[in-house]
Amino acid sequence: MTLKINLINIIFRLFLTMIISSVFSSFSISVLADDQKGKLLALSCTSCHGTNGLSPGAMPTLFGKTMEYIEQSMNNYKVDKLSATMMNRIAKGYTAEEIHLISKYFASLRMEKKMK
Amino acid sequence: MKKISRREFNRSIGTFGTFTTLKTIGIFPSILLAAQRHVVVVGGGFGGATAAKYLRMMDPHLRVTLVEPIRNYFTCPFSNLLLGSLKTMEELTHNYDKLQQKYGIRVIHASAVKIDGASKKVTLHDGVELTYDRLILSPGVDMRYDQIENYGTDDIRDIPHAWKGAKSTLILHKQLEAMSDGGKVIICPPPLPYRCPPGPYERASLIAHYLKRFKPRSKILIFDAKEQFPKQALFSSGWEKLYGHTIEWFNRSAGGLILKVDSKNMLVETEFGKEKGDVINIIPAQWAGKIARDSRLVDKSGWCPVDQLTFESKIQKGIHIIGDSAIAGSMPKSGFSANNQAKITAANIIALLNEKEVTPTSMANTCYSFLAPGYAISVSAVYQLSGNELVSVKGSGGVSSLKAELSVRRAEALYAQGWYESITNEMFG
Repeated sequence: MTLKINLINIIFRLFLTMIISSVFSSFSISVLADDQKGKLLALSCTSCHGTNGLSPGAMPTLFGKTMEYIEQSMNNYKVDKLSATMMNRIAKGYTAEEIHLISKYFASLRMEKKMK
Repeated sequence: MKKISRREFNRSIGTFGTFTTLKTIGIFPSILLAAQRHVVVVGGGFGGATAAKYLRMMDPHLRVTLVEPIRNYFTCPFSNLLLGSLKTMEELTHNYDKLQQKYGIRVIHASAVKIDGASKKVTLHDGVELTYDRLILSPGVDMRYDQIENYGTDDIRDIPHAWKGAKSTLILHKQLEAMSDGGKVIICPPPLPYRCPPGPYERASLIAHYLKRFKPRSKILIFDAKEQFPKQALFSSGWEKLYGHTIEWFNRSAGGLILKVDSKNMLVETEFGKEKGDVINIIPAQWAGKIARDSRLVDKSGWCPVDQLTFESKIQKGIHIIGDSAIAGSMPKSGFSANNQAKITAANIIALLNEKEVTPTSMANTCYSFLAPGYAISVSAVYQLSGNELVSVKGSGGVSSLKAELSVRRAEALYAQGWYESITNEMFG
């Protein structure tokens, strides 16, 4: 009986450790489970703009940019108010809502990093 | 991005250690077992390497094994720059160290020879068996040697395809270097679908650049199995500006289709007759990588039919097929597509393992092509499911403007290099 309780205790603690470590040691995007849609859309951006929007080369970095900046730029590219080599063609593939979610997602990475 | 520190890594190893202890005394609660699901990724290229990394980033409790025979991965994207003597082998070669050390992925350098979808097992060439909860298969393409008469695997030493792997690309590069001024280079692009649709024309451009510098009396003939090719107007006008009449292109109706090859005498034969080349590059027709064909995951076309939402095979449940070998609607077979499909599939698999619904999303593709150093063009599109098929979103995408100034071509060349750094960092960094 004592053994059983001990085991339940061990299992419970293990499980707790795993939950805690999943919160603290995991990559920041897992925290944003409520915003799955924005995260999934943003995964297309990182092929050029780098994992987490951190570009190692000539592509502009999105990490650390505000939601307003990304959203406004994308909306301006969409209607050709702003002109770039590539982004006008890409922005036209997204609705205003999708652009909002993408922008919110990248901006949230900034907040997440700040908190740590 | 937060790195997995050594301490955290050791802690997770410690957790595994406790699992083992619990297992040996016969207690292995299903709730803990569930936290240790195993995803095997077969193929460590643009699809597979990205998928393995993102699986671990999105769910650090997932056990991920990556099976890839090659230790030093040479990228197909940018290999045309090597042929133009603008990049070295080292600059285009990457290893799997960080995937193991930083992300805790078990990398096995072996060939997968058999997949048994019913018992969820992968067999490696040395007999080792891996069991999985979900499998990601990203085997890339294989060349077909059953389409051109008298052309087989023995001929690729003299007539390399240079369409995958370092070895074949190096052979072609050496042949170009050894060719004397005034020589004739023949390039034969395949019929669709194939890996990297604009690739053969970027190749012609960068070989032309090399010839202009070192062997200016030489010529390039393109014998094409197609009637037209991607970014054609941009390539044609660029070729005229940059290389005059060095490159001559013959489409299928103009005798572009190669019917027969004589590698001893360096001859290709078309409907219109025989042509001798000093260097010949046949890019053969392609189909899904061997492991996909051997495991009967392909349809009559030689490619893998998948559910274009989850990328799960339509033939075998539990196996997700991404990248060049998958039939992905209008998405082209490119490194970018494979990378994007990999990330979405990683997220989908985690949802499915947790019995959650898969969220439909959109994907994108961007392909840059160099016409010369500091001169690049691009094509892009955003894709979404329409019914069961991925199609490009109306009004999105397209190619670079034909009228763009040189400064735009220069900027695109800069961004092309930036893209390479970002995407290889997504895979290996």
